[in-house]
Amino acid sequence: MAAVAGAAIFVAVLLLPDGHERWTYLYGHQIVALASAAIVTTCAFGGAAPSEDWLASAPVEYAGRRSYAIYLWQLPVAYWLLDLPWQAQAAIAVPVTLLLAETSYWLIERPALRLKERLRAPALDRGSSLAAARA
Amino acid sequence: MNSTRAAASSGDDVRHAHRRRHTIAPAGGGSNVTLSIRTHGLLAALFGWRSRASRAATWTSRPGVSSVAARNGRERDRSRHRGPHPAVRTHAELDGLRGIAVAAVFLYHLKTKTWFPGGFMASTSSSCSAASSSRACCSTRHRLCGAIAVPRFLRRRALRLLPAAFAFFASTRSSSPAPRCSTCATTARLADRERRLRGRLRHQLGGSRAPADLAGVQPRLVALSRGAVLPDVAAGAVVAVTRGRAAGDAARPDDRRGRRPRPGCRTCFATVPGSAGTTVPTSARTSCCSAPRSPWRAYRSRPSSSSRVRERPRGRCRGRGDLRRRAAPARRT
Repeated sequence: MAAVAGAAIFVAVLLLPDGHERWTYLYGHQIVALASAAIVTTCAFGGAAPSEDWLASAPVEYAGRRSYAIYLWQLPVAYWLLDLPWQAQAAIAVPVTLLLAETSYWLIERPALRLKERLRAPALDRGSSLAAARA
Repeated sequence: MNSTRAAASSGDDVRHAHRRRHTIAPAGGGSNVTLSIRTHGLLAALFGWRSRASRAATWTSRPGVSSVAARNGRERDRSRHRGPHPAVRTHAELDGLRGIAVAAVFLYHLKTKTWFPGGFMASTSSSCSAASSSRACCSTRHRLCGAIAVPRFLRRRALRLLPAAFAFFASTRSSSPAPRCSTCATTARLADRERRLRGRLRHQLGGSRAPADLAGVQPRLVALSRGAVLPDVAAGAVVAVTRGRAAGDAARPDDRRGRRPRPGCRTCFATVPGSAGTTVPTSARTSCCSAPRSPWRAYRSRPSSSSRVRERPRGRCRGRGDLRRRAAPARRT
């Protein structure tokens, strides 16, 4: 229920404001943050079946896994095609961005993540001694 | 105290099990990264590509992995854990939320901006989900280890975010040529650098404005650009460069402080020919753009008799207001 309400608020706020205005920065970001916190909380406590279904669906999750790469690459691609009409822009920009994002994901992000997993785990003895000292 | 010790020792099993899962290379000096690069090669460390020989060389050293799986090379998937710690509850919905957010931002940056005016705010939601997942990882780590290794956390965050960002910046920067003025062929980057240097010089010289005519000062400027500390500035004596204003100088649009810089080339102030509403001051055109390409040479070509250097026994510059106050008499001369 909270997830549905959060999603509704989320979409409403994204559609409402008129770009970069004072209202957006005073309240809009906070409302979006609260709404997404509601969604996250609902997901974490395992309620709200309907939102979970479509948020965990394959294409959405795919976009989520590559969200950082897409976020990086969409802006130059979209601006590169700014002279075209919007249909052509969308038709070219979406596949090009997805391709670039996929390349970046497999060639850069995943190797970096593998390196991340190989970082040494923290010193566990120190952790237990800290816990003992705290008690 | 006894009870906490008991809890700690019972927690040790969990901890060491988890450590075993995380350990790839045999224990020794150096980090896991350098060790695994040394033993398996760089390609294996980055992409997981292992030659048959390296698999054969390492499969016997893994206890707890069946020999068949090891020979097939599947042991690397079992022995090394990918992603968050298995005790962290992961939610595909968080990834989904991030996907929705990034789609909203993408829609916003397409020409459909008017249909989707608040799309840029979705980045807030994306950072919310990222924060919640990293909070989950941190609290699990705290539960298991009794502490959070902040440097390790930061290192992992950096490894998540920075490589792709660096690649992105490098590729976009190298793929987009620097905008070059068609009149004086100065790139905007060069003009920016020059402007920064002039600002530094002006500051060190004690607030003289003299933006364009630094004829006698060019060697000092070059020295400054190489990071030198000028001796007279270091000694506290401040040299101010002022000059009489030439007749055409009032037309230089960027000359007056506080005025918004004009569009167009920042060195010669020429704008793209044919663009509406912009004019090129004739004095600027003759003074700068007839000069050779380098902005330094543009300064050198100016007559040095129009500038005079006078010593001022004043202290260091005290900020913008000070600059403006000192600049005022210079304008009248």
